[in-house]
Amino acid sequence: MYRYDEFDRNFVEERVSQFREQVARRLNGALTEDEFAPLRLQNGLYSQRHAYMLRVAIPYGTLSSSQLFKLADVADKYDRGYGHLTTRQNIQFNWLSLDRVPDLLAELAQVEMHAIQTSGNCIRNITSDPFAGAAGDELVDPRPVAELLRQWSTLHPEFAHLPRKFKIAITGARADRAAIFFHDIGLRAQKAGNGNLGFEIIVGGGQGRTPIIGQVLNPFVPFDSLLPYLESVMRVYNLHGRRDNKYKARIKILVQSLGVDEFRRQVEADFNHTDHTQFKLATSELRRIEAYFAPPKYAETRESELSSKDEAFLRWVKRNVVAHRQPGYRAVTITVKSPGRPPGDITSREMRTIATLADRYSCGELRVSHEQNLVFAHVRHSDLHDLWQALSAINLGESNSGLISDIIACPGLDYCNLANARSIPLATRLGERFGDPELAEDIGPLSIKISGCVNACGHHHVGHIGILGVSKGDKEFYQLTLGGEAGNAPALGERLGRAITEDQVLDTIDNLIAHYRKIRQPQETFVACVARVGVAEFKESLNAIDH
Amino acid sequence: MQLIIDGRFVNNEWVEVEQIDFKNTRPVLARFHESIKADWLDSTSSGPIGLIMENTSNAAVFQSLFDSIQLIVIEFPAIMDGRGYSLAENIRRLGYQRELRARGEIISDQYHHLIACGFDSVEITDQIADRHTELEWRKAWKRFPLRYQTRHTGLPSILAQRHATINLSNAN
Repeated sequence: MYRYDEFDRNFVEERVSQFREQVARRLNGALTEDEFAPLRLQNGLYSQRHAYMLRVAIPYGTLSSSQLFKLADVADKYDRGYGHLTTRQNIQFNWLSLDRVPDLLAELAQVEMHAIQTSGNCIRNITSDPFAGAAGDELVDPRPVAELLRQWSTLHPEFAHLPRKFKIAITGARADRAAIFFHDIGLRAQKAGNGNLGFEIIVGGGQGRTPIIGQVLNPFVPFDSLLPYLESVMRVYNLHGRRDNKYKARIKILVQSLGVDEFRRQVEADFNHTDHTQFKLATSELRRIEAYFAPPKYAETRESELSSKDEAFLRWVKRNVVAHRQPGYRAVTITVKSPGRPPGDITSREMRTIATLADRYSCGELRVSHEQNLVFAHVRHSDLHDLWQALSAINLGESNSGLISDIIACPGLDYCNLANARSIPLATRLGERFGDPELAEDIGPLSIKISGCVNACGHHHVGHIGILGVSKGDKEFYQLTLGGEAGNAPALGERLGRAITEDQVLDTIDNLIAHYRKIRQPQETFVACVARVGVAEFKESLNAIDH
Repeated sequence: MQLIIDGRFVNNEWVEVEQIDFKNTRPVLARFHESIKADWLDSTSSGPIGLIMENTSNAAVFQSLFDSIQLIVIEFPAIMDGRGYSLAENIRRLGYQRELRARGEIISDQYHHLIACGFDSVEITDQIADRHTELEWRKAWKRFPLRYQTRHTGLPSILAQRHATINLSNAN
């Protein structure tokens, strides 16, 4: 993975010392809260219901074991002994005091980590495929370009005060595991016929209160034009995105109001006026970065049949282990979703154990996925059973990756000022209700995604079953959607019906599952079944809870 | 109002006027409107002229005036309104090389972004200057001398320095 050189190190250290002074000036009154808020947000620090929350960047979701050890120390020293993995491949600490945050950031800098631009109206952490560099269907490893984009976007002087936040995702694989159609910009790396690297650019996708599937802005931008092209997109947005209404300020609204053709015309007019010589080092920089992402030294190429016949192990292999491009290796998902656990919450103790296991079984490297899980990208086939046993010993050997209990949820009303309803208790109850591995296996692939409000941090629009928290008076209710999908066939979920209580959500989902199991065709997944018969066919599942 | 150049509080010699006329001998600053033309500016004033632009202005509209003016002031109506940064980039791209000034709701913490986008000077209210002292602006002026982007700081970017170092070590 990427390692800092002296320039990167000095830069992050300078940001820490700048932030230390900003905190001191806030505490002595030289900075007003209105002035300080955007400064702290651009360094990942939120003021939440109970305390300050810091979102630490995990660039394109890649993490070393030594970084995870440090995160465990930070969780113990500055927080309450745990962290929370987010849907944008970051980690959050929820119980911080402002005066100690600079020290925390200084500790992170020691292991080449920071919280730069994990929040605020700027270009956020670049997200990517959690199986990058390992997946068999990969055409281009997206991580070197993601690192180049991290550097380009870091404290970009022109784009630090955008109309609203800006999220970029990049993939280099055939299967889209980075949700590129639901980002402000989605990039799909590909090779032209002559072997040259380029990118399909998707623009204006997003969730939130106005969910929109992104549109193709350009089917192929050659690598050497990528940075100037992105700058032109950003410049058109910075100058013309709405600033009068924060709910209409994302780029998707600008693209919708101009139309993608007019938006493209403006971008390309700007692009044609850009002095491209300022980006001339991008190619040599990409080469330099690529050296850090050379494949690890694989130990063996032969593989034999798995010797264990343990059913729980075989279920785990079926669900949580995927093919690797290197014979004799696999990529493993560790679902941080065991029954009773808030999705994505991970204790410092678990972090240390997982970091140790990553050293032993995955070349000291791991990934955070946007499903709020962890991935060991390079595991020897012959180590799978030992790894599964070690994970099971700490209650992280669940075989539910992609199944009904692998739930995505935002922090919800328990932590967030914006939420209408709690997400985590509902996720916990659903995890328990559908915790039986045999039942989950019978139901098959099914994603439940829960957002506590219309901001959609839990991605409910793209859940096969989406759950949105709404409030009626002072009561918490939930609205269900069916049929959402984030991957290669992007779709927004369709509303099932009226808002219901938490208890009713559980009963309705019971009914939905029962109905699906009754009408499904052989091998037909839940979301395929919904697509075939339509959401209306499932409305009785909601109505039946009144009987 | 307080003017800042190169991290120092300095006197502002520019006088804002409603109307530019023949009597000008001092540097005067007036609000841009589309009826202002270059030949009129050249024949109307004997002193230096500056123009104030809203941050929603189109840089191309006043490109023809660049040779007739000594100062462009871009207004920053709110701390988080970043249009002025891109407008500055467009003005510099079109070839304007004289003084570019940011004026309005700006704090010292934003100074390094302004410099990198091609601004030479900043003008802030006295209320902001009370809390954002000259010392803060001095420190902010030195912030992030090395950036990942090639911009208007006059210094090579991190990428340029990094690859110069690599090339040097390869040569050795």
